[in-house]
Amino acid sequence: MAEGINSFLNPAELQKLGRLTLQSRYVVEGSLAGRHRSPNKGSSTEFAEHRNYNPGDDPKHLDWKVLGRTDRYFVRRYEDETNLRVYLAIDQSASMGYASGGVPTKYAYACHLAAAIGYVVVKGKDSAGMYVFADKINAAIGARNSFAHLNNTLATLKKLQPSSTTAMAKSLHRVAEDIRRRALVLLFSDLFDDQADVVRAVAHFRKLHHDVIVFHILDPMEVDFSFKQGGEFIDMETGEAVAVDPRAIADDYRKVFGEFLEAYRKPFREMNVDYRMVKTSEPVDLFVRAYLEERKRFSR
Amino acid sequence: MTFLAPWFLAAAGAAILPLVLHLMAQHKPVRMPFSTIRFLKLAQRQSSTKIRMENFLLWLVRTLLLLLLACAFAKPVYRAAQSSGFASFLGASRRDVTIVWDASYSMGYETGRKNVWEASKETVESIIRGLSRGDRVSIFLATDTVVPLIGEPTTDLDLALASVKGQSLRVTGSSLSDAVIMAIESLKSSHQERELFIVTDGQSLPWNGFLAKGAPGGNPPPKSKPEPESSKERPPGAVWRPEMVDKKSPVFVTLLGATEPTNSAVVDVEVHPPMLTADTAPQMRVRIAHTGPAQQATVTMFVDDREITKRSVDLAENAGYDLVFSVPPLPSGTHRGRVEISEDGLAIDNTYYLILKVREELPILVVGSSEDTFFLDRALAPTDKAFIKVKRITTDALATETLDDYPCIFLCNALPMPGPSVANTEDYVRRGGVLTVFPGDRASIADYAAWACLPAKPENLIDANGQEKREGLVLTEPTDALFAGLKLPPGTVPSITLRRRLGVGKLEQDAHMLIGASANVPFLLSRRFGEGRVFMLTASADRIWSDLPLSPFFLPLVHQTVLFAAGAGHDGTQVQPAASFALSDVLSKVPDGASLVDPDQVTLPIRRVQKSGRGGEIGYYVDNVTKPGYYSMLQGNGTAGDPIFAVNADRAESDLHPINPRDIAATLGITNVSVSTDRQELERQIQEHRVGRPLVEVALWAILLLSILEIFLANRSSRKRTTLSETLTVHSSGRVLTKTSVAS
Repeated sequence: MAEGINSFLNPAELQKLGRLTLQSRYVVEGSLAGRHRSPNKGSSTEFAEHRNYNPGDDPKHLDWKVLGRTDRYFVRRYEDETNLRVYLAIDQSASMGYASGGVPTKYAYACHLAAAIGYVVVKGKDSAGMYVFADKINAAIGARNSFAHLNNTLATLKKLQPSSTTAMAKSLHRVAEDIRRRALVLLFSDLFDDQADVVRAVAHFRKLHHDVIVFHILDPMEVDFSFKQGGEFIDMETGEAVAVDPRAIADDYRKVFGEFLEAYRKPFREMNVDYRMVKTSEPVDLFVRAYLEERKRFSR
Repeated sequence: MTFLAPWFLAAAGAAILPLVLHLMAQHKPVRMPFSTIRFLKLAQRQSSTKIRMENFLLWLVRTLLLLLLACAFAKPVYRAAQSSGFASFLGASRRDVTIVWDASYSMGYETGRKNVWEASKETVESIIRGLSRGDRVSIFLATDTVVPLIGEPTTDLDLALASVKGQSLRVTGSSLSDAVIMAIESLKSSHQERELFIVTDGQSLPWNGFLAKGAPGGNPPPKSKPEPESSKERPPGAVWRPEMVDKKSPVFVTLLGATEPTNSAVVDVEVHPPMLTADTAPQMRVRIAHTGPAQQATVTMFVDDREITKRSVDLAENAGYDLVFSVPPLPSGTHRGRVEISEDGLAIDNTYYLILKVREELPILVVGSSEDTFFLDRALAPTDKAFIKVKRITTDALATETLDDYPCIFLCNALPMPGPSVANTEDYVRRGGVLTVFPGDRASIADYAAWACLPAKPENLIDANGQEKREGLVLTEPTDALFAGLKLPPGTVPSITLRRRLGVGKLEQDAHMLIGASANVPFLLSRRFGEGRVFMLTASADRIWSDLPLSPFFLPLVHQTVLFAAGAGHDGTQVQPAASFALSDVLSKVPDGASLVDPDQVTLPIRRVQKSGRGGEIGYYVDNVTKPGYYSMLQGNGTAGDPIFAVNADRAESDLHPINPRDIAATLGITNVSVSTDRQELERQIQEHRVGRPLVEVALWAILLLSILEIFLANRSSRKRTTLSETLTVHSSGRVLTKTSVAS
C-alpha cells in the first residue's frame, strides 16, 4: 500500500473499511463497467426496455416470446452498469484548522475521513478524484481507479494545510463546472460561509445531476460552546477579535448556532442532498462504517 | 427610625467595594483563536442588554448587602411616632393617655373560660400599669351615656386603678364615638405625648357611630326622658371628625371579643290584642335575632313563673326569626310574663320581660245628651256584655264626678261648661287623662275660649251650604301612638261628607294635626297637655255636621282612642335601662313618699322634681333603673306590689356581628391606628411605640434573602444548561435528528 494512504489510515482501519462499499443513489456515468447504474443502455443482466427491431441489429437480442405472441419484432435492451466516479471536495480554509483540546483539527479530520472513503471507493473498483479549495481551488485531481492514484492524491492532500479565508461558494461553483459527467461529490467542510451562497453552490451540483454528500465537520466546542472562562476570541480567518463571557452568552449562542445548522439542513433535505453532521470527537472508522452501512441499507 | 449603635453606620462606606473590585478586575483578557466569531457576535448582540441588567442587579444586590450589614450592626429601631423637642433629645418624655372602655352589655360575652369584660378590665389595668411616674390618664366608659370615670387626666395612677377595679358591666348599649370624642377633648390642653386607647369587644355596631355622626338622624333617640337639670358631659353638638386626633398621637384599638361570636336574643314580644281582657286568649309574637352560624334553640314562654309553652326553632345564619305563642285567657290583674331562649355566650339578652295587664272592664265617661252621644255609646259598647263600660252624664253632673276613675273622657256637644268643670277637666288631663272633644251646635265660638288645653282655638263655624262633597281622610302622622295597631282594610281610604265643621286657628304648643280632610283641612287635632292628651275633632259626634258616625272609620277611631287612653297605645310597661328614669312615663299618679323595688328587691327612692318651665310641672324620677326585670311599687307593709314596668336591655346591642379589624382605620378616618386582639399584643404594640421596634431581625432576614439572591445571580450563568448536542440528536452516521423527528 502506498505511503499516502498509510499516513491517514492504519492497517486495522484498512481491514475494517475493506469490506464496505459506497453506493450512489442515482445513475452515474463512468468509463468502465462497474456496479453502478449508467444512463447508457448496454449489455448486462438488468432488463431496461423493448425497442423495435431495426435492420442491422443483432438477431440474438430479438425477443422471441414477444414475436411469438404478437408477430412483431422487438429487441430487448438492458441497463448498462458502470463504475462510479467519486470526487472528494475538501475545504481548506483557515477555520478548518481549529481544534479544541483533545481532538484533531477539522481539516485533519476531513482528510482522514476523505482518505477512508477514498479507500472504500477505489477498493470497490470505482474512481476517486479530489478538489481542495479555500478562496480558490488549490488542488484538482481527476478520478482514477487505482490505489496508486489514490495514494498520490492523499499525498498531495497531506502537503496542504488550512489557510486563507473562505470563498466556498465560488470554489464549489467552479468544481461543479469542472466535473463533466454525472458523479458522486463528497463535500468536507465546516460550511462557515454565507448559507444562501453555499446552498446555491450545492444546488449547482444537483442541477448537473451529481449525487452530493455533505459532511459538515464541526469541533465539539463550536457546537456546544462550553468554554468555562471568558476571553478575547480571535477569528482564525479574519483575525478579528471579540471579548466574550461564554457563560453569559451560552444560551444565545446555542440559539444562533442552531439556526445556522437549520439553515443548511432544511434546503439540503429539499434538494435531496445527503447532509451529515460529524463532530471531530467521533472516531473516523466508526463513523464511516455507520454511514456507509446506513447508505447501503437505504439505497436498496 | 433610630440607631442604637450609629457609629457602625460608617461601615456603610464599604458599599463601594463591589464597584472598586469590579474596576480592579478589568485586566487584559486571554486571547483565544476560534474558527469564526460570527456566531459570537450575533449571540453577544442578543445577550448584551440582559448581561448588562444582570451585572447591574448583581452590583446592586452586593451593595445593598453591605449597606444592610452596616445597618444591622448599627442596631436600627423603629418608632411610629417620635417625641419632639428637648424631651426627645433626653430620651424621656411624659405622656397623657386616655382610655375609652366599652362597658356595654355585649362585653359580657363568654366563650368557655374567657369573659370579655374581665379581659377588658385586665387590659385597662395593664395600660395604666404600663405608665410611668408623671404620666397622666383619663378614662371614659362607653355606655349609652358616656361615663367619665376619670374625666380630667390625673397623675394618680393608683386612683385610676382603683376606679377600674370597681367597675362592673352595664346593661346598656355603647356610644363609642361619643366616648372617643370626649376622651380626645380631655387631652385637648395637653402638650405632652398623647395616646388614645379603645378597649372594646369588636362588635361592629358601636363603630357605626363614627360613620353616622353628623348625618341627619345619625344619633339614636334617647332611651328615656332625660332629667331636666342633668347636664351631661357629652360635648354639645359634638361630631366625629378625624382631624380631632393629632396625627402624631397613636390610637390603640383592642378587640377582645370572639372573632365569630354566636348569640341569640329575644328582641321583642308583641301582645295581641294590645288591651287584654279576662275573656281573651292573647297571642305573643316573639321576635328573635341571631348572630352566628345556623343552630337550634329552644324558646320558652312563662307567665307568673309558670311555663306556658315551649318551642324549638331552627335559627338561620345571621338572621331573625318570628314565632307566635298562644296563651290561655288570663284572670284580670297584672301578670309577669317572660320569654326565654336557650343559653348562649351572652346571657343578659336571653330573657325578655313583659307585664300583662288584664282588665275586667274599662270605664269610659261620656258627657253629653243622649241624642248627642247616641252613636258614640253604640260604638263604645255595642252590647251590655261589652268590655268597655260607658257612663253617660250631662254637663251639669260633670262637676261632681270623680274623673280620675276614667282613663278617657268624651265631650259630645258638652260646651258651654261651668268654669270649675273646665278647670277640673284640664287638671284631669294634666295628670295624665285623655280627653276627646266633639264640637256641637250648643257651643258658640266664645265658649271655647275658657279652655287652655285645646290643640287649637276654634275661630268660626264653616257651613258647606249645600256644596258639601265627599272628602278623604288622611293620616298626617300615621306613626302617632293613637294609631298603633290600627288596621284599615287594605286599599281603602276613609272618607266622609262634611256639612259643617269647626274652623280652627294656629296650633298650640305641642299640638299636631293627626287627621286631615282633603285640602289639608284639620279634622282631628291632638295636643300633649301636662302628662295627658287632648284630641279635638272638627266635626260633631252626631249626623248633623257630617256622616262620620255612619262611616266605617268611626268605630276604629273611637276604639283607638280608648285603647290609647287605657295605655295600650303606648306600651309604657316595657322600658329600657336608664340611670335616671322618668316615672311619669308609666305612672299618671305617684303618691308622695313612695318608693320602687327593683328585681333584686332593692328599694329605689322616687325623686320629686319641679320642672323649670311650663308653669312648674312636677316630675318623678327614679335612679339606677338598670337591672333587667320587674319593678314594683313598695307597699305599706314593706312588700313589693304588682309590677309597674319591666326593664329590658336595648336589644340593638345583641347584634354581635364583629367588625373587620382592617376596617377600623377607615372607619375612624385616620391612619395611625394599631389594632390588637388581646392584652399581650397590645402590650407589644405599646412597647414598639414607646421604645421602638428592633429591626435587627428584619435586617438579618433581608441580608439572608439578598445573599440567596446574590448566589443565584452570581451562579446563574454557570449553572448546568442543556447543550445543543443534547437538543439535536445526531446519529452515529451523522444524520441529524431533532427531538420531534426522534419521537416520530
